[in-house]
Amino acid sequence: MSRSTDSSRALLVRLWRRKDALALTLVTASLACALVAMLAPVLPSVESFLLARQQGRAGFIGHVALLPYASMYTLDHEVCLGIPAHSMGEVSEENVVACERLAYEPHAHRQLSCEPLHSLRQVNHFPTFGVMQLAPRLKTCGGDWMDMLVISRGWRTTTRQHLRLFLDDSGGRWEIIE
Amino acid sequence: MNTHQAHTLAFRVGALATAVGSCMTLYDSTIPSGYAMLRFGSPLAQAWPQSLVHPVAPSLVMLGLIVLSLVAAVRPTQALRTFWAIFLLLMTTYCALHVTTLNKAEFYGGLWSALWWCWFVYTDSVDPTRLRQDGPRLATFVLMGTFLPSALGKTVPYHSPLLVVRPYGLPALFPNLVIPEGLRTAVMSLVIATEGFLGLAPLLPLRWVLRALPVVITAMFLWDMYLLPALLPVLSVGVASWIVLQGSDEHGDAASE
Repeated sequence: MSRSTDSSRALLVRLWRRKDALALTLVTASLACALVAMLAPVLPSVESFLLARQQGRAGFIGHVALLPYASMYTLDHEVCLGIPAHSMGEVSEENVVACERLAYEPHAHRQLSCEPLHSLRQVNHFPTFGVMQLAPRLKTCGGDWMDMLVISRGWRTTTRQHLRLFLDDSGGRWEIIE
Repeated sequence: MNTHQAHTLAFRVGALATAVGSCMTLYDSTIPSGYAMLRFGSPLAQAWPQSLVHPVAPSLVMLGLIVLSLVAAVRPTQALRTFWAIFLLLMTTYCALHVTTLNKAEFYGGLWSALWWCWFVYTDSVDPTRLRQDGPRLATFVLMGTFLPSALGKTVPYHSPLLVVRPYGLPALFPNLVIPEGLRTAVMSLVIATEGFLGLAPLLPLRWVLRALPVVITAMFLWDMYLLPALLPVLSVGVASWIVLQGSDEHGDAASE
């Protein structure tokens, strides 16, 4: 096969002449994905979509629209943990040390701490999996719910999301407060 | 190896790679992640149709694909090939939606690969000579769709409009390895260059790409073993393209002699 007939341009010409719908679909979709990926950094709507998606706010259509980019863009999520709240009384004495170590930074007056949480901040599927990792920590502290503030930074905008994590018999669940 | 043998061998490579990749995905992602999502009552999961989110249906479909792939690899009749290709495309689309509910992208590369395999099986049945002429170059568009967005996505900065390589993607093989920031940037630059090279495959000489592909994919696998289910479909397309080219070349040489 000569180099000229082996080129992508020659391929596209052949596919177009033969009306090869399947191959043209593949080529078009591939080019479209590459084009959108190139334009994404300058399109605020793409960033908004990604932020919403990673915060669990995108809904079905938003997810489907971003399917090819599911894990392409990792945004920065800073997680602020509230004090574990509990309906069963104070945190037991034996859990205090673990609670301080695991749930929040003691130097932040135990109100709201900005914990780096390196294992969480760069995952591209926070808060879902991030919350999963936090549930055992909350359990260690003896609380049954805890608030979190997630500050998500895209490449142009920053959004804040208030989440509440509950422990229950099935493990845990979380709700978007605002 | 004549043309027919080469095409059969190429198909078997695709079917076996699909079976192995599906086994790994079934073990790694579909069941545990899906159950974890349900267990923790994520609003993300609640926003989706439950048939997509719940892991049982995708897992059963994937089990079916594994069995079908193995049967098709052993007995690659035309009917089985066609059924396999259609099932692969449908299953890949369905599982891509399911995996997207988990915010993962294992099947992203699989979508393009499944399209290519559909084209392979269809073209092999109507005009086998076109496989050699168009198949390998068409495979480069599979690489473009898979790797170019991935490379570009890694260049987007967090807080700055400047092009900054992001420090993530540490090797899973070395979970406790702390890489200095400067070195991380260098490593990520290498990753971006590698993915960019594969993503620009349609513009590069075909044999360069096909020779480099197994090496690059193996390196990516060593970088992160969990990438294998996503890499195998792409690798199978590359290897199949290489086999098609080899078989045809030898056949062509024999014919010219």
